[in-house]
Amino acid sequence: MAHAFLFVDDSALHHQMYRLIFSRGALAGNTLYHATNGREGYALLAQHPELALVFLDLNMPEMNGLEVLARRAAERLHPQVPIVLVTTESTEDDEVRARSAGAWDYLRKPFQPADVERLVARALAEAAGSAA
Amino acid sequence: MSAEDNAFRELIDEYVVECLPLAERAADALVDVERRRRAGTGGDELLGPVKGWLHTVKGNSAMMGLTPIQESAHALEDLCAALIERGGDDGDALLALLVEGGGLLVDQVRGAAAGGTVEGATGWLARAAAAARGAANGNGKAADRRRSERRRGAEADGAANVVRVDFRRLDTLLADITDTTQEGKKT
Repeated sequence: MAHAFLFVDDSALHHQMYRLIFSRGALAGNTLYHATNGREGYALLAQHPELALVFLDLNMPEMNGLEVLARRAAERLHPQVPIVLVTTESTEDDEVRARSAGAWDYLRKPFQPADVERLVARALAEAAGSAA
Repeated sequence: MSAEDNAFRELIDEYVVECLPLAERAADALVDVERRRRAGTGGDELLGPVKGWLHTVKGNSAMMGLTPIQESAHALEDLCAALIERGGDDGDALLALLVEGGGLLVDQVRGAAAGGTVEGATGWLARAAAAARGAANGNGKAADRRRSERRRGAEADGAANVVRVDFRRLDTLLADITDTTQEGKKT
């Protein structure tokens, strides 16, 4: 069964990386949405309650990852959609801040395709568990 | 994981397309900061955006397994932070390292397909680390002051006409001079 995923990042390179990861193996064949800033990302999240997982970069122009999470919490927008906050060189404090802002999990750069695959598998398993 | 066996190796062209303009913008801005500081017209407000561009280059390099470039971008970020912390205090030694490192970073990103290793980068990294430590300890202050005094002395001796040129542009400058000289000979 195909799932939908959203990637929010201001780096074109990172979007290419996600495309590459999702073009192979078990992740191939899913629907992918891409946004290059937090504002666009939030709009896509609002349009797609069916998203299986969102990869949200922390440092972005216009609206950063934490601002997206804060707005989503304030507006209670699709709380069932898990969001992974992606960043470089985070500290434990950042991680705590992200989780308290509503992030489902945290992904530190540099990451490998296997890290993404693990997160997707866990998100899908949790969704299936809560649906059962 | 090295760049050769990196999972995103096939995206090396996309990496250069995204990171080269950022590295060039950072290098140009650092030259500008130095020029404006020398002229006494500020320039430190450029360091914030420069840190942002370096941060992106660092993150992307890490993803691509380009460790030498990641390390240079990280060291430049640290030097920017050290310079910002010192405020208006003289930071000539730090700025000279930043300008040199900015040029190196551009060359490294340009040569990313070959791993991003360029001559002089290792030595620069060691000097940058020492300078960042020195700045953190406040030890660089006296050396900078001595350097500033030496510069002021040199300027007083008539060396104020010296202009620093980003070494990436030196080839273009030399080519222009050669063309002009040859045209002058023809006429």
